[in-house]
Amino acid sequence: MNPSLIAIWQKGFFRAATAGVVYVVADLVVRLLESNLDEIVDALVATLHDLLVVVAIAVVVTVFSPVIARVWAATATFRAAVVKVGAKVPWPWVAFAIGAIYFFLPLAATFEFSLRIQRTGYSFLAYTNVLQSPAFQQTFTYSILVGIAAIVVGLLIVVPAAYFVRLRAPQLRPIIEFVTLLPLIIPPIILVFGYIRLYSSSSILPLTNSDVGTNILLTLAYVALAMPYMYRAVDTGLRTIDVQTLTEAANILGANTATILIRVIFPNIIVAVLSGAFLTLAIVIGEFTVASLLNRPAFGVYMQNVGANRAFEPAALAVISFIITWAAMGMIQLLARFAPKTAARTD
Amino acid sequence: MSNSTDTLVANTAAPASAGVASSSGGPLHAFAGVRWGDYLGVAPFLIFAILFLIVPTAFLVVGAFIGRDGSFTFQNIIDLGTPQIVSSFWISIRVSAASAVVGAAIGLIVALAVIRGRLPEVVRSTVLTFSGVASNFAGIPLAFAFISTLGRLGLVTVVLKAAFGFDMYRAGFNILSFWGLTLTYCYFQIPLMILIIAPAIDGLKKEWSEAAATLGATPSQFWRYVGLPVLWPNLLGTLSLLFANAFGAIATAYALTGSSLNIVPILLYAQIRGDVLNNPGLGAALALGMIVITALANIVYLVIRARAERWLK
Repeated sequence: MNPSLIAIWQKGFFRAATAGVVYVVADLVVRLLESNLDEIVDALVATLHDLLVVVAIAVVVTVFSPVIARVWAATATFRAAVVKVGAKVPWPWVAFAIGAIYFFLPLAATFEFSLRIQRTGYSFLAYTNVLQSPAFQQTFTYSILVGIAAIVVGLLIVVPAAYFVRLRAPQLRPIIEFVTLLPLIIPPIILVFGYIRLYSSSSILPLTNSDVGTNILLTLAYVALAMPYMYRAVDTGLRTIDVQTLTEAANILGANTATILIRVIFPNIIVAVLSGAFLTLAIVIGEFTVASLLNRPAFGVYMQNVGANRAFEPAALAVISFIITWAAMGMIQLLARFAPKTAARTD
Repeated sequence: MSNSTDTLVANTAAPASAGVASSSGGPLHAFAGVRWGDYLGVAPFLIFAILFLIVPTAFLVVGAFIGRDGSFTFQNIIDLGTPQIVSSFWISIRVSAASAVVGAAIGLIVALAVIRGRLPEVVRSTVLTFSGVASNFAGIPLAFAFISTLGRLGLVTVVLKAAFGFDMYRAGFNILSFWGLTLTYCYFQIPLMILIIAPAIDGLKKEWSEAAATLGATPSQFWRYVGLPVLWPNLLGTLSLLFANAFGAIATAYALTGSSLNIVPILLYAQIRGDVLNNPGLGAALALGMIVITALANIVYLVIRARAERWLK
């Protein structure tokens, strides 16, 4: 036997087998994703069937691999031309453009849809309907108020903790950081389920008994949801200023800890605090799960109601929500420009 | 969500005040040497965390093991095996896995194109800002947006029908189906992927690709032997984070499908509202199942991220 022929067969088999295995695995994954639980066996059988077909194809490809290799070599100039054309395509721009279409199409479509309320032509009637409805005004105000309350409570909890961890108790940092990650690990629906069970009418702290109590519970739930972002924002702010020198200087001037926190540290991290606040607002304003399960008249619950009963107003609400999210994020970007540039002491 | 510099800064901001013991030892050891006055600063945070994060979750976990008569039992966990609950877990896992994989793949491609594709700086900063917005644009409004786009009267559906005579819904597409929900979830999964993977791609130093090119490597060889092996842990970690992110999400699915798509969070929502499973303990067991799955996915993320950071300093 010609050794080079064996090498070609080996190579051909290896390539065909690799391609076949990749195909079968990808096929299996898609089949599993598409099957309900009772269809899994069918999916496995179908994959087994595919595997047999792939093996057969691999054998045929291997047998004919010398021919294929010759055809491959004969088309070298053609392939080089294709590669050359391919290299001229600005692939990064193509990827960016496809991404941009995926992200802007729904926004454009939603806007277009929101204008279709009248058969005669485009109009902003859906927006005026929404903005003038008392339910919108009440729930929106309510959500803004709860959001502001959550920001204030969150700051009262987070700023002292971040300050003391940074200045005096860095050994607590792993614990505090783990706790701030918990709201990302525990889904909101679990959290509120726990609240409902724990703070219901028959418990030690029956918060869900009264409206005020439930409002407090909702605010605290939002403090928890925003905790990871709030802590990170405040901690980033503290990192950019020289906490230690500021504290020592204020101490020498006779300030106590509360004065230092309120009149020295807080004004210095106000930019970071505000970006944390806007992020909190963006998360809280349209929140649905917690507000709905606590039966609060929040904006997210109102949106869900409108979505279940109206056709065009939901689209208008989606556009309004997107503008709000965008505004909150834009404020954060804008604030970043005003952040103090002093570095922490490194000695 | 991810920040690799925190551990570095913890060392540079070493305290000057006396009375701080060395910070070695386990979590309990950490409290040694903290002065009583300092507890006052951290106390509100810790009390809040205990009352509104840890105890409610622990209460549910314990509740999952308590039967109707108040005694300890595994019956609730065993009851999770009913076909309705098992199939809801399966659908949730499918949607989360599909949206995580698709979101991670597309997010990676876009991030690579924007960061390493020699696109103008403006494109990069715009994409990152937009990702910040889009990753927070979830919940009810997102469902509305996709109904307006791909619903029966959505712009894309209508235009495809009018211009090309192609009826997506007759071809088998439905926004209320598995792939419809997956496509919708990708709207916040892709930006999240871009936000998390961007620092890792920034960490691939220009010198590495230059060195590889000098040694005669083609771009594909560079990605095969250098780029992907370095990014690999980050990709896997982010994948599990995206999975957890989709698994806990409810508002989008609820507004999109009502309760027609039987995913776990929607089942749990219905259970909390009206005890549809006719067993309070089973609700707690359902919650426990969700906690276990999201916690596992997050732990995978945290562990892998810690390992990945070694390369990217």
